[in-house]
Order: sequence, then structure tokens, then C-alpha cells
Amino acid sequence: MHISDGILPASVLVAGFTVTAAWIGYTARKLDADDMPRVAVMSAAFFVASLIHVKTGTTSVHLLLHGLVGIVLGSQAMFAVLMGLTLQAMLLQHGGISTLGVNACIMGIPALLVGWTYRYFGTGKPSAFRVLLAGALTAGAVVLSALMACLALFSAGRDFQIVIGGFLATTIPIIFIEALVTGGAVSFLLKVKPEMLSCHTSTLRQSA
Amino acid sequence: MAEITVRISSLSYHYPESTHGIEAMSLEIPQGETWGLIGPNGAGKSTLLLLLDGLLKPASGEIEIFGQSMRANGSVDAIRKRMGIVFQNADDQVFCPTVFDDVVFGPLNHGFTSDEAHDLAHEALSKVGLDGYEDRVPQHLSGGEKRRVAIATVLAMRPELILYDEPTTGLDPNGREELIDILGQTRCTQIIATHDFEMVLNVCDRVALMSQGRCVQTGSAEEILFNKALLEENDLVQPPWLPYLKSINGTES
Amino acid sequence: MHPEIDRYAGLKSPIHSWDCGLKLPGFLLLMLVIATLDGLGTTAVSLGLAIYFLALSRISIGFVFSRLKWVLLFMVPLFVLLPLQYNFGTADGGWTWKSENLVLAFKITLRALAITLLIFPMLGTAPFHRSMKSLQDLGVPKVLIQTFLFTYRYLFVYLDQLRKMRIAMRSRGFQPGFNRNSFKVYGNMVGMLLFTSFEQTERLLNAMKSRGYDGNIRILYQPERDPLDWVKLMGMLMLATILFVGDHLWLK
Repeated sequence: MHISDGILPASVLVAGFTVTAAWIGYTARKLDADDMPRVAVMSAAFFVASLIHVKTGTTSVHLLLHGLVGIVLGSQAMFAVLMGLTLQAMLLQHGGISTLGVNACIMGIPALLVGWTYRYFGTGKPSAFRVLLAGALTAGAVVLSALMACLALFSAGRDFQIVIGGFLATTIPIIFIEALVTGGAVSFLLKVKPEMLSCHTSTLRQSA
Repeated sequence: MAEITVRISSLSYHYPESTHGIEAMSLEIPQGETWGLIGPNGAGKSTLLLLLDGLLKPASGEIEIFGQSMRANGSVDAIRKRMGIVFQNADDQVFCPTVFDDVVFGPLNHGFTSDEAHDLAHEALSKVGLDGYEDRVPQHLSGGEKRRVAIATVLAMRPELILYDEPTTGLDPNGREELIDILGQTRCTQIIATHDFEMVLNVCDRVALMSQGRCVQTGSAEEILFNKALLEENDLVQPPWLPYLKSINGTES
Repeated sequence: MHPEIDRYAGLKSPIHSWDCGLKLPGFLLLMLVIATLDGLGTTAVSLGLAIYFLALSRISIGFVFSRLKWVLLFMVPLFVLLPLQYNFGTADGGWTWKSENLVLAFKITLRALAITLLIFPMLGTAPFHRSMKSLQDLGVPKVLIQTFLFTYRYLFVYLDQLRKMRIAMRSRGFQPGFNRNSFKVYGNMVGMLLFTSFEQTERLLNAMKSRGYDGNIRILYQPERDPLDWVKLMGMLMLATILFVGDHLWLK
């Protein structure tokens, strides 16, 4: 879910870059050497998600997985989102260069919220609850991302109302797809490698 | 009597929720020898290599490398400067954007100057026959080339001890031959965990047969590998062609 | 699609010879200025400039066209959705067609095309990792660049994994569709991808530690710059300024 080059006014582009840079700058200092490969793994996964297409009747949409990125990485989710988006824009010409900041906010802020909420409510709960929580939060993240994208589009002018409507319509199937796929992935991981989703980033470090 | 490079005494390690691990194992490996570690899957070969490199912490027992105990403070870093490990999957090891970046990674970390690191990297690449590969991108290389890059990354650190985890697995016959040549030409203490008996016969001075976390027997490659009964007792199968090699070797000697 | 943007990095052109540390800021500045253009004339000129730089870089046109699919896919609906308006609150209300918004859609498409086309001379004219390392010179934090290069390296491992998984699933008769079962399969697929990659990260970290990794990646990189590189940067700055000023004059 992203906005292409050429649509948004300069002020919104600048605001997007500012918010993203501020958050990245703030968390970059906390990024541990041991965390770096982990964040890279999730960034690559986020990138690859855009190449997994799901058929929705006549058209197809691709996976977003920003909810899952939030669940796995927590506060560092913004990193993975920014890197994934940058690579998509640079390597696949998918998304936009001037809109990188805005798009990172659209995808990253919901991912962060999902990460925090999942950690707050999910810790120590049974698997079934955590799967449901992950699915529900991801659905919320898609809705929030869509609303933020609409807000950005709205800033481009009143004439975008029908564009916004069309955009929202395409979002509806994505809500279900993302919730089910992320729920499925979380349920899979809880079975085979629960420590990946345990709410501390340092667990992997202890086992390594 | 050569100096002992690796001394393992009553070493134990257990994985959580798994029966595999190392059970009270002892072994001494003299300087300059090439050892093969053989044994069925789950015998503890890879685990032993990780313990030797300090990547796992032993539950009990002692590892001494270059006469230094791995338990002493700061010794792991000091020992690591003098040893290297080549992992089974080169994609786990070769991670830099270019071959050259990857090969200088170790020397730079170990405090060599840029110029020294530069020379070491070129030297290591030429040892594995990859001159001119400096600017190549690892993801475009073949499996055999990637494995050789992985070995170069270790050779560039001028190690006195190299550990290999199944170095010939997944290589085509050509790649395997090239690798065996490299192993044969490397002059330092080497420990090779492998299922490849032919390679063991070609390059290893001695063999340690492992089973269920213990070292069952040590001996020359011929002593162990031609002993069909011993192999079968330890869940290993002697390849049917192996005895013929023995007769060939026999006529040669 | 293979994400290999630097396939033509080996060619020779004035853009190839431009040092990345100056080329990237030059192109990025031009792109950002183009993103803010509002006049039809200046926007059209910017697309002309982009085509000029693309031709200068000698990157294969077929390669570029095969990658414009996404951009065009997003732009085509705008030509219908932008002019189509619904009037809320007015007495007669209802749907109207506002033809002047066709110009708006046209401008958006021109801008998007210009910026996208500029990606090719910017990134396609040097090995990708060198472009990224030069971002460090621009003050992008080192940890970001390192993680980024890591991601880039792993991308290819995952794409390979993904391809294998797809083949394995297809060989067992999996037909993707819009239904719960398909999503469950996709969920497992994503889970499996993450699982294997996390295991791999652990092994990778081990391999790095055994080679003395302590959190700082040390890479040899020396930019090679001559005065001509700076001249090219100045040229780029001038173009960007002319476009920017010209746009404001056009709007008056």
C-alpha cells in the first residue's frame, strides 16, 4: 500500500521524510549489532512479500506483511519497512522515490502500533489467543494504513475523492487476506519456533 | 613429538529438548595434522565444531586450543584470531556485496591494516583459484565457487587451525575435486566433519569416528574406513567400492 | 521479475564514469524537484530530461520498458477516476465529468514517469553495492547502510527459496484462489520463509562472530573523484534550479 511519485504536494513529501528520519534516527542508536541481521531478514521478507500475489477474483493483490514485521520486530519495524520500500522503489520501480518518507509512515506507523499492542496483550497468553490477536491487529493495521494513505491523497486536493473511493474499495479484500495470512504465519511460527515471536528481541541472541 | 593443537577432555554439551549433543568426549589433535570427523547424522560432529569455535559453551569438560583453555577470560577472541571455521552452507557465511569485501572482512576485524588486509585477501583468493573474482557478486556464483570463497574468507585470516563442516556436500564432481585439492594443499591443522569417505582417504592423516556424542575410535584413515565391521557397529555404511580403493592403494605402497 | 537493477553497470558512458558519491545526490535532487513541479510545460520538459539521461546512460530501452509496468498500472485509472466527480451538498448533486482534471492526471503521469526513468541512470550505471556505500558519504547512518546491504544480499536467497516453495506446492497440486485454504497455505509459506531465514541468521551471525565481528562492519571503500565529477554535479544543480524557477514563472 503506497503512493506513487508525482501525486503528492511537496509539503506532504517533506513531512513524510521528516517523521521517518526522526524515528529512524531515534531507533538507529538502539539497533544492536546482533539485531542487524535480524532486521535485514525481515526487510528482505517484507520486500519479497510484494512479489507474492494473491488472486481476488479478476485482479490480484500482493501481500503487505507489515503487520507481521511489527509483530516480529517491535520498535525496529520502521527500519524493515523503510528498507523494504526503498528496495522496492529502487529495484522494482514499485512505489516511489519522492514518496518514500510518506510511504514509510503509511506502512511503518501501523506496524509499530501492531508490534507494541501485540507485545502488551499477547505476552504469556495461549497460542490460540495470540494467533487471533495477530490476525485482528493486522486487519487493524491494514485499515489504518489505508486511512493514512487516504489522508495523504486528500492533501493532494478535493478532486481525488473518487480516487480515494476506488482505493478504499481495493483495500477491503486486502484486510481479510492480510489478517488470515499473518494469522497463519504466526500460528506456524508458534508451533515451530515460538522464541521468534516471544516478546523479547534478545531471545535469539541467547540461543546463538 | 608434535605439539598438541586441540585438546578436548571429557567434554559434554546438551541441546535443550534433544537427545543429541556431546557426551564426555576426549580427543587430542597434534599440530599440522588433518583429521576427518566421521559418524552418522546426530553423532555430534557439527556440535563439536561449534564448541571448538566457542560458538557454543560446554556444559562440562575442557577445551584447550593452542595450549589456552577456552574457559579463560578473553581467550575465545584470542583463539579465534588464529582459527577459522567453514560452514556447511556458503550462503550462511558469504554475506558481503562482493567477493573481495567478504574476504577482507575477517582480516579487517582482526586488526590488520587496510594494506595488509588487501594483500591477505588477494593471496587467499589465489590459493583457492579465484584470482580475478574480486568484484564478482556472491549471489551470481556457482555452489562450488561460493564454497571456495567461503574457504578464502577463512584462509585470509592466516589461521593455524581450520574447521570444516561437510565441505563437499552439494558440490558437483568438478567442484568437489577442486575442493579436495585445496584441502590437500592447505598447510595447517585441519578438522573436517564429513560423510565423504573418499575425500577422507585423500586428504586426512587421521580419522576420529564419532557416535552418539562420543569419540568411538581414532586411527589412520585406512584403519577406520576399511574396517567394515566397526563402521556398521556405528550406523555407518561402507560404500561398496571402498575395498577396491584399498587394493589400489595396496599395490601402490 | 529479477530485481537486478545494475545489469548494465558494466557499460561505459558519461554517467557510468560519474562517481556515485556525487551522482546519487545529483539525481536525487533532480527527482525531488520534479516531484514538486506543477506546470504542464516544466513537467513535460522534466520527462524530456529523464529520457535524455536514460539515452546518455545507454541502458537498454527494452529493459526499462519491461519495468515500467507498475507505474503505468497505477496511472491509467487516474485518467478516469480524477475527472469523475461527485458533488456532495449541492442541490442537483450527482456525478459530473470534470475534463480539466485530465490535465492533472496527465501531469501526474509525466512526473511519475520522469522520476521512475531517472532511477535507471542513477542506479543502473554502477554496481548496486557501490551506490549504496556511497550513501554513507551523504551522512546516511552506517548501521542503516550495513543493514541495507545485508537485506540486498538476502533478498536473492529468499527469492530462490520462494521459487522452490512455489514449485514444490504446484507439484503437489496447489491451486491458489480467494479462499480460506489458500490463505492458510500462504500463511504457512510465509511462516516457513521466516523460519528458515531466522535459522539462517543465527548461523550467519555465528559465521561472522568467528571471523571477529564485533558490531562494526569494516569495508574498504575509496571514492575516486576527479574535477569532472564535480562539474557534472554542478550541471545537475543548475538543471534542477532552472526547472524549479521555470515552474514558478510558468505558474504566474
